[in-house]
Amino acid sequence: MSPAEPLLRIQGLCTRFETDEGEVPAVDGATFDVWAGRTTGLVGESGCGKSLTALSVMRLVPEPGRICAGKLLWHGEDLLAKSAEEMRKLRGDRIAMVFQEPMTSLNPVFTIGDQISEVLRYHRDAGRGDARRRAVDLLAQVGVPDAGRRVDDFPHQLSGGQRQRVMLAMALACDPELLIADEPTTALDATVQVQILELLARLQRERQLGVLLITHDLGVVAESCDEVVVMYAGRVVEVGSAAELFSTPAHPYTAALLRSVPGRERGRGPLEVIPGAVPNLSRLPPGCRFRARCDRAISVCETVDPPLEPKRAGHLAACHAPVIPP
Amino acid sequence: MTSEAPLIEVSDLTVSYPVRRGVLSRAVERLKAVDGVTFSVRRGETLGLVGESGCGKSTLGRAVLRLVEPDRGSIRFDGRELVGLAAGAMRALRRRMQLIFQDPYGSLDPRMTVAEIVGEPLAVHGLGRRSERNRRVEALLAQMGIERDALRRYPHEFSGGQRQRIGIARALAVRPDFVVADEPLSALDVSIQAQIVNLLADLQRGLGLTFLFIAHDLRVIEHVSTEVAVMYLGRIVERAPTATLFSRPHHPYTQALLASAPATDPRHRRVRAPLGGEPPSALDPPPGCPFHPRCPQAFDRCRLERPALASVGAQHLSACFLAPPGTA
Repeated sequence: MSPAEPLLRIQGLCTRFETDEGEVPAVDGATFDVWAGRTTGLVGESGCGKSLTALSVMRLVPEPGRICAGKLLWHGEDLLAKSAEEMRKLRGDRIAMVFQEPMTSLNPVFTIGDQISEVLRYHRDAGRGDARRRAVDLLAQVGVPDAGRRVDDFPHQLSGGQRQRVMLAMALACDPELLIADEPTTALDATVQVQILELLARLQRERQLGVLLITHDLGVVAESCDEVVVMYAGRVVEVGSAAELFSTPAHPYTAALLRSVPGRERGRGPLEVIPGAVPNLSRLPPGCRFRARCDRAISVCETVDPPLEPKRAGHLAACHAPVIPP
Repeated sequence: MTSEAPLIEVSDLTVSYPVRRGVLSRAVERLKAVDGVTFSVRRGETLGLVGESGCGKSTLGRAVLRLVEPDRGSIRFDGRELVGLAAGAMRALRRRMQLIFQDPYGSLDPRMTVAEIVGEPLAVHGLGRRSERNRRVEALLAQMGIERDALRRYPHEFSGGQRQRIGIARALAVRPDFVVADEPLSALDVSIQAQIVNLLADLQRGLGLTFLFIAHDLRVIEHVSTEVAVMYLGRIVERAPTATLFSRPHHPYTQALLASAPATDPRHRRVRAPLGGEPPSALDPPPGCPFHPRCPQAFDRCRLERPALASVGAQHLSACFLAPPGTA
């Protein structure tokens, strides 16, 4: 039932940081699509560039970073060609974002009602009373109990889970088409994490939202994503459907990551380990960035950085020696 | 190997903190972070302690080492009572009990070299001459998989996983018998977590270490523990050997925690009704069973009376009025 065109088409996105050690290619040629009514998981370990990819889409890359190449096609129009004013109109309206730490993204000196209302007043020119009524309604929709009273609470009066619900209410205020959620459940407890993931799934179904879900947790991906994009050291290394990626990963990094999660096989034997650590982005070796940690590396991996290309139908990987399905 | 007497025996341990409330912060109340906890760990085994944030698991871990003073209760380490032990005697025993921290960034002094960090506990406890200490530090770091040239470098030059290895080397420098590991993996990436889990398992086998392993991640707990204790609002609500707890959880909270663990495969997604609500504040614990406001199976008695931790099977304790399986 998906439409023929993706909501967002990221093509060859490069975001670099100018540092004392030279240029750091934090996002290097990222290419993937996000569809309406589907959840795309963007996974990888810390420093792989996943959060920066999201900030690039919002055109909110912090200094001294800058987007230096690529296209961000939103309904076919390049976001990189838009003026600052046009971006401000899109952000919070058509494209919304929620972050990992709801406490640092909420303003501590305004009530949550004021903060949700502000979105509606800015983007929808809503009157004070109308905006407040909508805020109560939104809080009820995201499952904040007793919304009529909680609307006057300050952020510190709420628990972590409730704050994340408030962030979602604010993000959904203008009925966006795309929601970018950066580690939305990482700071939450297990029983509360499930509540937020279920809420996200319900909102997406009801509103046909496109969701870009950024996480380091493969469990969260297995639980809630339709498509998965795996990043490693600034590169997209694998793209595929969640079902296929978990059952037959093509990139050795994805395969090793899946094997290293405890609990996939019962027992207390040693866990599978990816040896070594992620390379320093300012001193990248030639060839494939994962080569030094890879158990399938061949000689070509030392010299040629593998391009992201189809390995099976609808399943892309950047690897010279992909894992062959059993 | 498991028939030995416990290395550590904790009974009725209670720890509270003063909390100021009211307009002028005059009203002082006590927040019970740990409330009447009893457990023991046998030599060479691992007790996994699991629970959500604020349940008191970290306070319990520190209280067992007497890094925070308990209000009451008893901690016996290798047959000796620690509560009320004089400072000098405690210091001598402390060499045998060490702590591994969650945050490999905040727990290493940024102005000290790796050699100084790992060697410091040896110096504090006056173990060996300088040259012997240096040899011990080198050997330890080699055991942790840290290169030799790391000795003169500073913590900021290392990745999170390497820093955690340095923290582990520091804890093990004085050859402890008992180690409290407080969320040692949660600041690390998945691929690095597996390295540290394996390292700790090797060290336990090689050195006969006894662990109290604190974590919120059930998959990690299941992998490393011999026995598991589940905490909720300052109390242990269920305790059982690992296989029993994961295959036949008795307490509705344990059942909810297990059901909350994400799937490891998108083909096995479960449709589920998540547990409602959130853990209550320890300052305003609900009457009766502290879990009853969230419990899908609560009945009248649960609202009035607090269930004690009682046997529901072989080596299996649960603080719940529901009948053990097979007896109803």
